[in-house]
Amino acid sequence: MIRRRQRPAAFQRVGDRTLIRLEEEERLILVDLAGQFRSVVADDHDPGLRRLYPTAYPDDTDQNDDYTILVHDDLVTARLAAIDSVLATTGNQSIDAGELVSWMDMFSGLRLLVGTRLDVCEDDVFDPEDADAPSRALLAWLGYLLEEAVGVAGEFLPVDRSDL
Amino acid sequence: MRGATASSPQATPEQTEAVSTIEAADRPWVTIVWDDPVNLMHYVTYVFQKLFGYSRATADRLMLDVHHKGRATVSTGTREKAEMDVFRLHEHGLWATMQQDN
Repeated sequence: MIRRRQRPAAFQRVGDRTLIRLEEEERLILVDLAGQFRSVVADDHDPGLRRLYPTAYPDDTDQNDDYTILVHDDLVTARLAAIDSVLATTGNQSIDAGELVSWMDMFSGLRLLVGTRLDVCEDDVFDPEDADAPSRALLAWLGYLLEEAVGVAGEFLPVDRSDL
Repeated sequence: MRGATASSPQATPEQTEAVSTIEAADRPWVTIVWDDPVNLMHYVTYVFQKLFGYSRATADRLMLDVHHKGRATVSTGTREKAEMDVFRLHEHGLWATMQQDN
């Protein structure tokens, strides 16, 4: 069954690379978003970031503190590396599999930040009159881009998988 | 941890405590992923496939467990493995915790 699209897919696999089929304006928006996201992650004090650094040991504060001390900087570093990979490739015609993972990490991380700030619920209904409307529209757009990227990324996973 | 005394055929309180300490240390650790209102279902499925090598079918099943039941156990093993799995899941923006299996 072939699904018809109203517009071309945002990402398309060609061999072992992924074509970025975004308009110039969309690429500029992503550069701006990535830059803003990078600042927030690097400053590391925005309460909206808490969802990016969840607890690991919910029943043990001491163990969780140990875990956080161990991994927090690594999580920040990894997230900055993903954002920098996106910033370096927004103008590209195509990206490799590793860069695609970075793009997905940026989309998902930025969605978590925006979604946390909005305190979204799964059954929220979009209201264009709402003061939050622009942020909710952004969340939806990033969700569309992430959905498209995942569709391509899934094709790069190894074929032989083992089950539980 | 104390060993058994030669003259005692029944377990002393110390022995029982020692055995339960061993059992506690041997109990595997499980990694749990929790539902959240932001992450996309297809993305969660993809992360499970990528990080744990699950088939699409298994990853989808686990994702649907997270979505419908609120949580799912995605891996089992040593405490070190669980911490690494939790870290990798956090790297990809999933909400994961770890605990000892009951």
